[in-house]
Amino acid sequence: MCSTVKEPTEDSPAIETFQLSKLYPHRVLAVNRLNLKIGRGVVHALVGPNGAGKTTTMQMLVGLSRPIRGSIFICGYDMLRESWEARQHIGFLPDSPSAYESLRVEEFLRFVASLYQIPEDVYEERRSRFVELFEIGSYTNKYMGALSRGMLQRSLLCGLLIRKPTVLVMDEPHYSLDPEGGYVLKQLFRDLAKEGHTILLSTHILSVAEEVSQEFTIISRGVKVAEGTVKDLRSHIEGGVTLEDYYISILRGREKADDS
Amino acid sequence: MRRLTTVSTWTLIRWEYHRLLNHIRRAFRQPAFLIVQIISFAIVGLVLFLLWFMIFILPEEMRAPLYWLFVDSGLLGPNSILLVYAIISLIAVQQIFKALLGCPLAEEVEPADIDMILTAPLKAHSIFFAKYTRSIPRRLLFFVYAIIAFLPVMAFFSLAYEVPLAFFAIAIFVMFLLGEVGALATHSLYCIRKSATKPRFFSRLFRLTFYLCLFFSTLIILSPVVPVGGLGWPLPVFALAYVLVALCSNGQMAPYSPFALNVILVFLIILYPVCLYVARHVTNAAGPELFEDVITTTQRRGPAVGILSRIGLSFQGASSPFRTLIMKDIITGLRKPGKAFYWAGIAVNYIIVVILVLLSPVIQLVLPLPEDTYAFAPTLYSLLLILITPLLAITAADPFRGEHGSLYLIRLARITPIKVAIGKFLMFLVTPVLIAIPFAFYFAVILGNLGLILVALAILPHAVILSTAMGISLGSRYPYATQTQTQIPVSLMITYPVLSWIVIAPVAILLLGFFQGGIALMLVASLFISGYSVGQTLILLGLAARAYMHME
Repeated sequence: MCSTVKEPTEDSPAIETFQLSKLYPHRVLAVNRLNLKIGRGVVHALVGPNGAGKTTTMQMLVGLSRPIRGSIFICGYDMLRESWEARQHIGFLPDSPSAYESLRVEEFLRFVASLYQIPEDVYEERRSRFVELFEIGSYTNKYMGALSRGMLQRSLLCGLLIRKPTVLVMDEPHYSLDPEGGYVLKQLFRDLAKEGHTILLSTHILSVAEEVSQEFTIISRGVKVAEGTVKDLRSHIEGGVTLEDYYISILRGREKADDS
Repeated sequence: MRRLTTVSTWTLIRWEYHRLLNHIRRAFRQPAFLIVQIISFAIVGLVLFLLWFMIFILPEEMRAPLYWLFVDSGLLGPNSILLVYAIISLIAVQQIFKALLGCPLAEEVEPADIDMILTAPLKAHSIFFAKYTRSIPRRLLFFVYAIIAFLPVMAFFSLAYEVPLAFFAIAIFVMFLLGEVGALATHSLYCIRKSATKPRFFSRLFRLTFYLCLFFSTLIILSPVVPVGGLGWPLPVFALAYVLVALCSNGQMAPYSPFALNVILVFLIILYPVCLYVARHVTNAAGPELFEDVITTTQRRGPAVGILSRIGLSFQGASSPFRTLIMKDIITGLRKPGKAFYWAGIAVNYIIVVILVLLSPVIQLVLPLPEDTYAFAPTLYSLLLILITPLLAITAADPFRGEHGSLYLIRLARITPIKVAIGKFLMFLVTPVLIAIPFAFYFAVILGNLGLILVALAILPHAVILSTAMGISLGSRYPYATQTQTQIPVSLMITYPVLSWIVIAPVAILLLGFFQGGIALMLVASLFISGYSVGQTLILLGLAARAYMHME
């Protein structure tokens, strides 16, 4: 099936949200009036403690969950009104990824290629690149249900990157990877950003955010409490105050303000 | 401007089938799976063989009592048709409740669909048709089982009443189409419910309409004939039952019956594409988020929504580790996916049993049954027992599903293996016993003698208890056997068939018709079986405990 769509304009931000809010049952406000603007070709970290609303925000960004208020634009497309077009440009790696257990890794990669109509020659080129990069060559004939958590994560990353979406949304991508896998991923983020891809990753490990990303947003209890470049963040750290101290002080300040 | 391509429905269907075939291929590599299938087929085959042998092969002089048992008792008469009718009605009512409470596609969606399919640029109807098409083989397989099970009965009718086999072919096709139309209708209802919940006024209006539909559907299903313009128009399910009742009672089709069946067939052939179109339309209206809702609901709360969460259960702990384990099993068991639907189904069963019991004087008045029909009861019970045993054993054969953490807790709490086995046994026993009791009532009420309830209750639970113990004893071996790979074929290949036959053979011999029984004999038999089943249960639980001891 084919339809005609306008190409996304290069100057539109990769991700933009206005007043994004999500209310769960029992009046749990997971995200509250969140505004984000993330440009092209950057690695942006969404940082926050457990339950801050990072995963909910990401699920709304990729169209898995509908906000109660606000709007989302992916490469200029409205995720709520032009969801079909917006989804073409976005790829998602969830925090606890599930796999089709009855598919072999090779079949899974083909499935992704088939789902996104990737031409055969492009698929072959990308497949060989990413399979080699993530060192899963000896696992391609194994069922995904039989893989270890780390290998599953690598395979899913491979599937995601074979698509090469403009915007990659990754929820805790380092979670199951060993140090070597984590290192490869960090390098890859930098390369992808240089190629013009935008990466939004969530983490509650500050060192990962600091090392990989150029920009950050800190959220707590569904509200944005700080944002800026990593350089900005570092500028606040003086006289023996660590990044962690600064982060904790921001969060505690916010919690006190909320409680009062 | 550029052309945006998206994956077609057929591509998705192809991948769904690819995964399904992979799944089957993997299952067939498991010796345990193969053995369970072979034994299940062997048991069904044995029952069919016995029926065929007794009806067609046994010499007249030997056949007389058995023939009487099967034919004159009503096994092939109106009673069995009424029974089938009752069960079909029950299933139909349960389907309506499922539409009300649950997610029709819950069994077809996988958690991975969220990450892979729902984030892809797909139309909602593509996802629906891929999942729906994938579910068809499962229903077809069920029909194949049903056809095999009814084959001797159909053969008997063909020979005795010269009914053409084409009639049965049409009847089976009609039943299949009914199921398909039902599946599409329940999905459409679900979509409408989900897409109408946003504005409050429409939500309320929709709910009211839905409950009214539910009420009238239940009434229609439970009432055999809808009078329109002075004529009685039987509904599809009832029309079939009527046709068969007419066949059974006088060997001829009722004046309207062939016409009714053909009309139903044409009606369904027209209705099916209409339902397909409606399903497509309302699925797109609900959007792809519908499937996220189905998946997350299934993951978090099971296919039935909001029922058990309203039951005020909380885990309080108990005075001993064993009681704490039982408490935990009860609480988590109730909250497991799918359980809410079970409980709703059981509740419906009990409600219908009460209705049947209240109506029993009317049933006796309308359809007076000869006293000879009492002999029909043990045959039917034993048939059910033999069919139900392997199924229940398979259900109970994975006591640690989703509870891999339990083993460590149990070990740390130093609960003895026999207590673990008994705990799991009790947990698995609750649901089938609750299901078995209404079935006993059905038979008793439909046979028109409430006195048979006692007999039914004395006999039926044996199958449940034994098969559950069998499942636990085998299932407890899985984790152990998985670790020591070579143990699987050895332990399961030997234990499963041996245990199956030890459990089933005496019961089958006693009840399947080799002994012509009155109520007195049935009671004696049940007393005998009581001791037998207690002994067997203890042995099986002991075997389970032994397996738990060796687990790591």
